Amino acid sequence: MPDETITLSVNGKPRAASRDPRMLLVDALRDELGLKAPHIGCLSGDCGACSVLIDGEVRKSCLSLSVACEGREIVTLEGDKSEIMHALQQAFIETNAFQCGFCTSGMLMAGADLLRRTPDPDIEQIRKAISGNLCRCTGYAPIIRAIQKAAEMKRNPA
Amino acid sequence: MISHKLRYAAPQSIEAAAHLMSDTDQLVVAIGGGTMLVPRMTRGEERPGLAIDLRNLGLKSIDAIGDEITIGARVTYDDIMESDLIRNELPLLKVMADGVTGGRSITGQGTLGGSACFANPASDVPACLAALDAKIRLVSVSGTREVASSEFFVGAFSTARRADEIAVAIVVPRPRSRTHVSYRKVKPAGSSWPILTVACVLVETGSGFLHARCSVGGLAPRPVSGSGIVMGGDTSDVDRMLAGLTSPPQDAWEDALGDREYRAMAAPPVARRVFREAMEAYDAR
Repeated sequence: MPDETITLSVNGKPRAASRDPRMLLVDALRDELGLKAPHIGCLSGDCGACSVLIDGEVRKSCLSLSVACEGREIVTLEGDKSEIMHALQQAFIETNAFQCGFCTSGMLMAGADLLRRTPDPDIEQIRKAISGNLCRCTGYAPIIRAIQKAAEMKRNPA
Repeated sequence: MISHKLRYAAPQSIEAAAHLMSDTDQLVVAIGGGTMLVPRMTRGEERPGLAIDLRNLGLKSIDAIGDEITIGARVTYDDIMESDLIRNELPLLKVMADGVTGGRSITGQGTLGGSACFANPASDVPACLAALDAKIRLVSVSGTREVASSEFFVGAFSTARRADEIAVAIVVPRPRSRTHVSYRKVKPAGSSWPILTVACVLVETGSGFLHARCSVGGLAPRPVSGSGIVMGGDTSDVDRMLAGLTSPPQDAWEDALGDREYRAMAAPPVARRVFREAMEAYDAR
C-alpha cells in the first residue's frame, strides 16, 4: 500500500505531510504544519508573500507541489534565527518597513537571501532582490532602507 | 490547493518519463520549473490527470559539443547568468536572463525550456531563441527529434511539441566568431510581462561583413525574424529588413498589456534602436 505521507525537513526537523499531489507547499506548511509566516497573496507566483527557503534557495512556496519537496529542506521565517535575519527584523522595525505586515515575511526572506550573498548591496541590487515581492502599504522605500540598514548593522555591529 | 484529481510521478530516467508521457488516456504534463504550470493547475486552467516532474532527470547542463551549444531544458535564468560559456559565446541569453524580474525565486526556478514550450508571446525566451537559430530537442517513446525555432513556435501558447514529447534541450549553433548583441523589451511597468521583446545578434564574418539576425516577440503570435548584412558600415540591407520585419503582421498579437496598434507603432523604433545598440557594441569592440 503506498505511503500516504511524505517526509520533509522543515525548520530543521523531519515533518510528515500529505502525499496528495494537489497540495501546494504553501498549503502543507500553513494548513498541515501550522507554520503561518508564509502567506497566500496571489497563488500565481507574483506577490512573494509565500517565500521560503528550499534547500537554501529562496523560493515562492505556492509554485511547488508539496509532494515535489519530499526529502528537501524547507526553512520558513519561523525557522530562520540567523544574525542576518535578526538584523533585518530589527531594521524593519526601525525604518517602519511594514504596515499591514502581509508582505513582510516574504520581504524578510528575500532580503536575507540577498544579504547572505551580497553583504554590501547597492540600491539596484536591493530593488532587484525584492522585485518578486509586492507591497501595497509602504511604497517600498522603507523596505529598501531597512535592507540597507541591516547590511550596515552587520558590517558595523554596534 | 489544486482542485482537480491529479497524480504525480518523478521518474528517474528520460525513458521512464517518455513512457509516462505517451499515455493517451489522459492529459499528461511535464513540470520543468513549475513557475507557470503549477499556478495554472491551481487556477484550473490546466487539468492534467498526471503531472510528471522532471527534477530527477538533470537536464541542467550547458555544454559545447562540436559546433553546437546544448542547453538542458531545465537550465534556469540563474544558470545562464553563471555560465562562462554563455557569457562568452551566447551573450544574448545572458543579457536576456539578467533582465528577467521576479527575484531569485523566479530566476532560479523558471527554465528556458519551459518558457519555450509555453510559447507565451510576452515571454523573453522565444524571440531570443529565434534570433539564435536555436532548435528544440524533443524526446518521446518514438525517438528524438530537433525542431528549428522557426517551426517550433507555431502560435501563441502553441508549439510543435506533440503531447507525448518532452523537451530535453535547446541546441544553438556555436557562433564561429565574436558576436555583438542587444536585447530590449517594452513593458508598461518594471514588474510586468513584456509587450514587445526585440533581439539582435551581429556576427563578424571575417570578410569585413557583419551578419545581422533580429527577432521580435509580441508583435505576432510567434516570434518573427529576419537577417541582413552590414557591409563596410552600410546598414541599408538591415534597415530594409527591419522595416519589413516590424510592419504590422496579418495575425497581429495583442493582450491586456498592449493593443495591436500600440505594438505596430512601437516595434519599428525599438527594433532600430536594438540594431543600433548592437552596432555600437561592435564599434566598441
